[in-house]
Amino acid sequence: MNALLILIPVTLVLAIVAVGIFFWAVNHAQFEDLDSPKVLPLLDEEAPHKDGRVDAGSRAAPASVDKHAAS
Amino acid sequence: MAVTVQDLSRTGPTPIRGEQDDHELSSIFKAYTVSATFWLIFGTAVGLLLAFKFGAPDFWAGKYLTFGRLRPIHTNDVFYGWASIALVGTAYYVTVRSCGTKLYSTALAWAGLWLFNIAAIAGTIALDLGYNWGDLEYREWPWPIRLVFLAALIVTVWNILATIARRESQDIYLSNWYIVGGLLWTCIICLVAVLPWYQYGLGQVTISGYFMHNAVGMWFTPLALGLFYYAIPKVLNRPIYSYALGVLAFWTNLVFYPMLGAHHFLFSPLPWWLQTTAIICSVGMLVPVLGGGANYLLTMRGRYHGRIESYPLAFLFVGVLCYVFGSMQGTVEALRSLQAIWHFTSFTVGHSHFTMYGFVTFAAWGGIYALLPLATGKRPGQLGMAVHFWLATTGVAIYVISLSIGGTIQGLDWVHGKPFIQSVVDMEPYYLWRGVGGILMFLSHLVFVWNVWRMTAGKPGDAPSPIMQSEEAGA
Repeated sequence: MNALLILIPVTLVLAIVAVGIFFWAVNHAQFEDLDSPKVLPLLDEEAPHKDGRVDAGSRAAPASVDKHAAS
Repeated sequence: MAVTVQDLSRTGPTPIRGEQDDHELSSIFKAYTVSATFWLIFGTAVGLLLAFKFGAPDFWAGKYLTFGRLRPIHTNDVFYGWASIALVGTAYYVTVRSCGTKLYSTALAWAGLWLFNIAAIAGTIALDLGYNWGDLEYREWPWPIRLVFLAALIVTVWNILATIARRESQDIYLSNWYIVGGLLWTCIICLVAVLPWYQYGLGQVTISGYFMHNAVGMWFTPLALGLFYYAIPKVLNRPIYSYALGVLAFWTNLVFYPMLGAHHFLFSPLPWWLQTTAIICSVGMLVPVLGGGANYLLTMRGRYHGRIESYPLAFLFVGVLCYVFGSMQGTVEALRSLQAIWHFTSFTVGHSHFTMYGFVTFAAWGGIYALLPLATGKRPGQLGMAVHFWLATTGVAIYVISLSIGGTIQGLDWVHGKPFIQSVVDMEPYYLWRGVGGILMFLSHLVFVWNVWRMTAGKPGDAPSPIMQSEEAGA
């Protein structure tokens, strides 16, 4: 069997799926705000202790984020 | 900073994460890293032996140690043992943390690790016994073993998607796009690569190019880039330069990459238009490569002094440079006029080490050095990271430069119609230098083992985090 007869339909289906995912993402406001999500890696916080106590300052990371870069 | 946690928390309830969850995530991250490190040592020991077989073909030439059996063992084990397991381990950490939640299923993560390892062990044994899929590069493992690897991927993507579904913020952070994109796409190519209906003749050639290059570019590349988008901002304590540029790079990568596989078969009987399409897509890859590379480097700008002080960042920096230059080298190689010289030469071997080692392996190391101490609270010594870094960097530089020069000479010899043996004689010093580079690289891996031991053995510690102080606080 000619591989292209399989590859072309498969590629088309995949392209449609990829475009579908892209539209899903746009419709679910994934790319609405292209600035604030970039701080997500810096928002990391320590897990609360078993008694629910949270260490003081564990949410402090964003406060000390480099302003020069964040502007 | 106008953004607060509350702004980003727009989805429904997120499971509360506790100390136990952090402990489990740390155990998974540790186990993946230790397992990957074993495959790194094994796979590169085999690679080092192979490097010397060029100069001394009769050295250790027993049936089970012939070049033809060991070469696929080297490539498959560093691909599917080392790089895949290491990057999936970091991907779990990155996804869970950037989604501000806990892992969907610890059991699935362990099952994935077992499946990855079973596939690698069975594949290695099968290849050494002489059971293989012939010359189908990077898929020499017999097909049932490839299905075990596929099962590991499916388990992983299920776990990662379910984790993302319970994220804290509305936005799915860029790293997760890369991780999920890479996992889903690799499930597809692994399936396409085992279906039997077109595995002969030119159809097989097409599939070979398709699989071989997508296994590299839609598996290792997105996972390593996803890791960059988390680890670089994390270590610098500074957000990525441009989130929008990252989104553009992700989608253009997805547009161009899947169709460039046929550039491995320029001048072959494959349809000329298919080859041209592959070349056009190879040139198109400059968009995501330069966009992504600029994004990482602009994030690091002004922190040159810190790059030397912080070895996790030094590894990530070399990884970014090799990503940019290695990928651009790939684009250049895909042009017909240059491919005519470099095809079949050792230049290609230099290129694959430039990218798979200089880029992907350095990215994995940088990610492990940056993130594993956050998970375990234990850091390797500064000296250990320094020795690892300089041995590996010097080694890969010698390796890539010698094979690039030697490969070009080899190709020119062939183009000028010299006797084949002339090209072998001309290559001899470059094969020797490649071996020297290989020794340095392998020694660096032994130091890495020591560093992994320092980061994982014993009880969780409370070492200072590798995250750098932000400029106003630190300088």
